[in-house]
Amino acid sequence: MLNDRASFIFKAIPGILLMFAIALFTMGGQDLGIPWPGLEAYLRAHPVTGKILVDVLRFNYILLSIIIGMLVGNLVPLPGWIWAGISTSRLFIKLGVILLGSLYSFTDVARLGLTAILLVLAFIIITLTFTLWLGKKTGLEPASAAVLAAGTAVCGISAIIATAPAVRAKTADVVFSIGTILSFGVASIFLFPLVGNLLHLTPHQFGVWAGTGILSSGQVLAACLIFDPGTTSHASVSLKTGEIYNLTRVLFLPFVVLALAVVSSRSARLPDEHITVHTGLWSKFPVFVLGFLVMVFLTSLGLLGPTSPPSAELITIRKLYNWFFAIGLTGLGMQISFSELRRAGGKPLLVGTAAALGKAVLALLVVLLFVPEKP
Amino acid sequence: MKQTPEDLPPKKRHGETQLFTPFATERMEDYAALTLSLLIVLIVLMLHQ
Repeated sequence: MLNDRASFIFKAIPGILLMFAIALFTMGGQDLGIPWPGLEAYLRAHPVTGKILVDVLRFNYILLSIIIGMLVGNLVPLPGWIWAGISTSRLFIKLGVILLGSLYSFTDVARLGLTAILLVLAFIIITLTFTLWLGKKTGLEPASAAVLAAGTAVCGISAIIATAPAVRAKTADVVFSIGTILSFGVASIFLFPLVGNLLHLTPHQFGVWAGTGILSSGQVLAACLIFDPGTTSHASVSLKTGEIYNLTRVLFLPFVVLALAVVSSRSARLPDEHITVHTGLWSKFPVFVLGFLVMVFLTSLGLLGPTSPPSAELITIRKLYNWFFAIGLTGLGMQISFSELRRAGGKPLLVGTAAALGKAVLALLVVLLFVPEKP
Repeated sequence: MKQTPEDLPPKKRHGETQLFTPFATERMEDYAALTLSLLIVLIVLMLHQ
């Protein structure tokens, strides 16, 4: 057992180094004392690329890392052993999210969280109902509609994977749904910051929109950091707002899986003895969120030093989560497979696109009409 | 060199689509993230003492 773990850690090193190298190339090495300003700094320095690519299209280090990751992952024939390290990308993102808790106080969480719970819950109910209704209208199988509903309503691919066994979805349903959600997610990374910029949304408004309208957690992080990267002394406001909405949505996952399992087993007339509160709720509860809450607790009690201006401890933690996000999102880009995107098709594509697009537009309208410029 | 399933890219494993992760369950990945973050916070606090 220990040998297996040691062997995996050893095997993961090359892939982690590759993700780190791409992140270092785009982000620059000042934090580590490496005299390389980063690709973003080069693009920003030139008047044309600075204006078009960085200011308008938001090609900052996060987006550049994802694009380079996608290109390397799909076009460069990488040796098989390098994937062991790249597969740790989600661990880096979770580590970053836990450390991100150091940005908040209890008051922040309570203030942002209350609106987030109401808005996210309303959107989950609307999206679930709409996707299941549209699935029925277009003749989609109940299991297929259920996995798609979970993907569009809660948190993308994780929700599809969590729901599939509970609703007894076929592999084809899962593949089509993942293709659809992934295609929308990739488009979101590019389009959300662009639209937010064109509509002059404030970082807080953008965070609410991205946290409500984008389907996958990693893509919410990416879009928020692309729109407003922040600095170590002034943390990203869109990330701070967007992540609270994102985590609120993720926390609803177990309840949505349970609800879909019940709905699906009734509509497909399946025995429901396998659905219990234990398997449905606790087993799907994302426990890493507890780490995020512990960080909020430590910060609120001042155990990590003063927050304004941030203490040396908090600055180090901010630098660390920025690196973890850059490395994790590079790996996320590397794992976006072009061939998988092409698998999106059929009725799931139609239903998924209508639900995802409808959700994004409705969320934008809510933000423009009701969300203030500042929290 | 002989390749194990962990060595293969996500799209080629088991011939089906899945969210690829080295951890047996998502819960284990969460525990790993919690442990590592605890370690990081302790190291940061010690470094700045």
